[in-house]
Amino acid sequence: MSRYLPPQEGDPPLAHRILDPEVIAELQALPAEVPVIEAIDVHREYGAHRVLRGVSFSIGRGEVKAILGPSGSGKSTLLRCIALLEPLDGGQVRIEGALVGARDAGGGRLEPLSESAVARQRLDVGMVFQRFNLFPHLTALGNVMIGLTEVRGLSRQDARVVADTMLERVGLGHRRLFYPSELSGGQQQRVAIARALVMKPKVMLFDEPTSALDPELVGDVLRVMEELAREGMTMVVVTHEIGFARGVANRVLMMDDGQIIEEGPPDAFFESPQQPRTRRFLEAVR
Amino acid sequence: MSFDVDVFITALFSRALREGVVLTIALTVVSFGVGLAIGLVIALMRGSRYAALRAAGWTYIWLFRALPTLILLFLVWYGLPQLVPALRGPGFEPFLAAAIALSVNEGAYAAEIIRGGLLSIDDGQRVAARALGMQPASVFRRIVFPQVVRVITPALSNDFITLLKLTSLAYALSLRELLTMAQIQVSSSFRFAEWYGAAAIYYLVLVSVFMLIQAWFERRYVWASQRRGSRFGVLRGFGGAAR
Amino acid sequence: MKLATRLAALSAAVVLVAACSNGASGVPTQAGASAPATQAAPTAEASLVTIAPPTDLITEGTLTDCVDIEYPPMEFFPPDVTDPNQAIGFDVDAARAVADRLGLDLEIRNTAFDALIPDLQAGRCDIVWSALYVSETRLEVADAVPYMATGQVVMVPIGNPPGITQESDLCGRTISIQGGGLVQERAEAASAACEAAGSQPIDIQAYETVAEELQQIIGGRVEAVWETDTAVLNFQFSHPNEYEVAYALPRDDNYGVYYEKGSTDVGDALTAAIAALKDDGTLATIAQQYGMDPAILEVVE
Repeated sequence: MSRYLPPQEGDPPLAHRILDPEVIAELQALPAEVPVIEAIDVHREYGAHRVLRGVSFSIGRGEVKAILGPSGSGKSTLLRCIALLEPLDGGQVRIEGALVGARDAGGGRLEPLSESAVARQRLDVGMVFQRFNLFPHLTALGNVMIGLTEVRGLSRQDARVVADTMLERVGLGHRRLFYPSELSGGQQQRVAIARALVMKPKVMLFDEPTSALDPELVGDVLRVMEELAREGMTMVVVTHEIGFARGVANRVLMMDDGQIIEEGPPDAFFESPQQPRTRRFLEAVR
Repeated sequence: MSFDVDVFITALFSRALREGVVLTIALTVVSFGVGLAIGLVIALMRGSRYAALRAAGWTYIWLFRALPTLILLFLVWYGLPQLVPALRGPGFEPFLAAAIALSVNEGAYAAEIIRGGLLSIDDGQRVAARALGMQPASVFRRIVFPQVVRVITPALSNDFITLLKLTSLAYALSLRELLTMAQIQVSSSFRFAEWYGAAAIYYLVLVSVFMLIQAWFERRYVWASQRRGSRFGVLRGFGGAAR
Repeated sequence: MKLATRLAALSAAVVLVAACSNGASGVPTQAGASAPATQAAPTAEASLVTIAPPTDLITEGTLTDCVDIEYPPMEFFPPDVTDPNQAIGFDVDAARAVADRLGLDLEIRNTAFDALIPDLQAGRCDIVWSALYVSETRLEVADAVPYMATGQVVMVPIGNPPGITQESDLCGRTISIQGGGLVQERAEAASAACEAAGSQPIDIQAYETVAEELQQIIGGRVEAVWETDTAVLNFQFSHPNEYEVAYALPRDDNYGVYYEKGSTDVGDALTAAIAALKDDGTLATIAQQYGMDPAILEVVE
């Protein structure tokens, strides 16, 4: 059931620029022929359960890819592997062609890097979670600032300016001193998006960003995401929002049982899905 | 037996109890502080990647929760100088021995409280912090630890108050803390009600002051932009959290 | 042995006389009432040091004495005093006199009763002078110099309502004692004797401190108290004309000053000093000051 709605009359106006012009320029300057991020034959298992069975995925500059699929298909796990949040049991991840999360130990073997080293590589990837994962002991402003002060090394003053601006742009300037427990779900998710964006990532990953929201709040978040896409951010979105996938994504993927079983442009994907499992899934969610 | 108010008042302001309470407070604060530090280390060991550290942590908790505090006091007072020649001189005072024993004891309990606190933090917190590129130390210091503090404060406050009264066991090491001082006065005056009554007042005051401190501390962890103020706001602590 | 028996009988007689007169010769000191400002003036001054001090001490030049300062009239604090080195009582004053005689400073460590011998064994005390009985069990781990004969008495409210005159009168009665020592052993034996003779056993209530034990008779919960004569003496001073001694057991125990086992250095000096202080009457003066009969200084052999 699509809950995505384009902006309506009477909605609070959204700043037309979420990202700074310099940032947009930088994004556009990313090499076009190399995928911004790619997963090559990635395997992941929890004990005996194989969650990802050799998944290969890539996304190029400015693309928006939506990933659909039933629960347990490995969508979230794939995202976390790309975000370098989980160790791989096989395969590799590359950002702009360079190996990340591991190093070449020679002889075709890959040795995982220490947590410290991987942490630095995660700066290129921004992630937004289904349950927001905002830090409850910090205000909205504090949440957005902390990545800047702790990781990018900005002074508190500089961080505050950047954070203030970003919160304003996602429509939450007036709530910046509120704590997560005092914000609605949609507001919290927008704070989470702002938190990830201020780090200036090259690609944004969204793991079912609206699944935990009340229906009337979904639109606020989707509008921010749409604006981001319009400004040229490379995005991977795991979602159930068919309307959004159809309206905003360049390509749509279907995952099932640890593999990508179908991929295509939205119209083709939704009008005439090739795989029977895709057809069954789409029928179930319509 | 009659209750002599004059004796009670004398007892209340007596030098004996005043000196005793200083020792009681000092011993409690020192033992709690050191115990908390030990507990943090042990709790982190129990969550470590290395099996040897985990085992060591578990062993510590097992051993020092099993040993009755009194036995631990004796072990430190009589046993430790046998093992550590440096402690054999008159410098190894009862206070030091009692502080060591009580710290080690408290460390085991604090470790479990902290471990419980660490477990209670939603894993998503760590994932989100790591996703921002935070180093493990930052994740712990800025994200996990502040949330753990909020969770463990009530249980640790309990421990503090328990420790306050547990210090009276140090009588066995000849430490003249509050309760022992009262006992000594009783033994020469035979005025039980007055002296123990006075000691009880001291404990009541100490615990009351501590609870006020606890409430003030908890207010700093009420994560809300508008604190629900009320006349008794200070006492409500977490109860006043805005939702 | 005959001499000892005669001495014991003489001592018992003296105690009976003393007890019946509800006081003792000399000026009694009330614990917790007026602070005795004068100690027994040591007859030896620094220039009269005649006994060589022991050399094997914890701190050179200092005699470290562990005492449980909770037992009037043997060792206790004057009102509002908490510094152990200002404690008073027979044991404390006598220890000071001994230290003076030996040309040493006296350092008193206030030590819990149960920790006295263990701390001595642990090397924290040179001596333990704290109204401890000389007993077999203690002598297994430490050595002692006896300094005072002592025994127990059974105390009842004045007028002796339960009519106790001898041990067999205790059968079927309720008494309080301080637990875990010689008194407990003897009380239990007496109770067994009662049962063997076909009478009711003695209801023995044991308490941890003398104060608790004596509280029971104040509260009327027991009919008699079986306790050391010195403790009873002190209690009577603070509760004049309320209690009396029903009967006294033979005074055939000694208090002793304990020192580290095998440390003849300390032991010899101690023995010599105590003997000297007894000879020149210092100890007798101290005893009288606390309301005790100097005859008890004739220790049982």
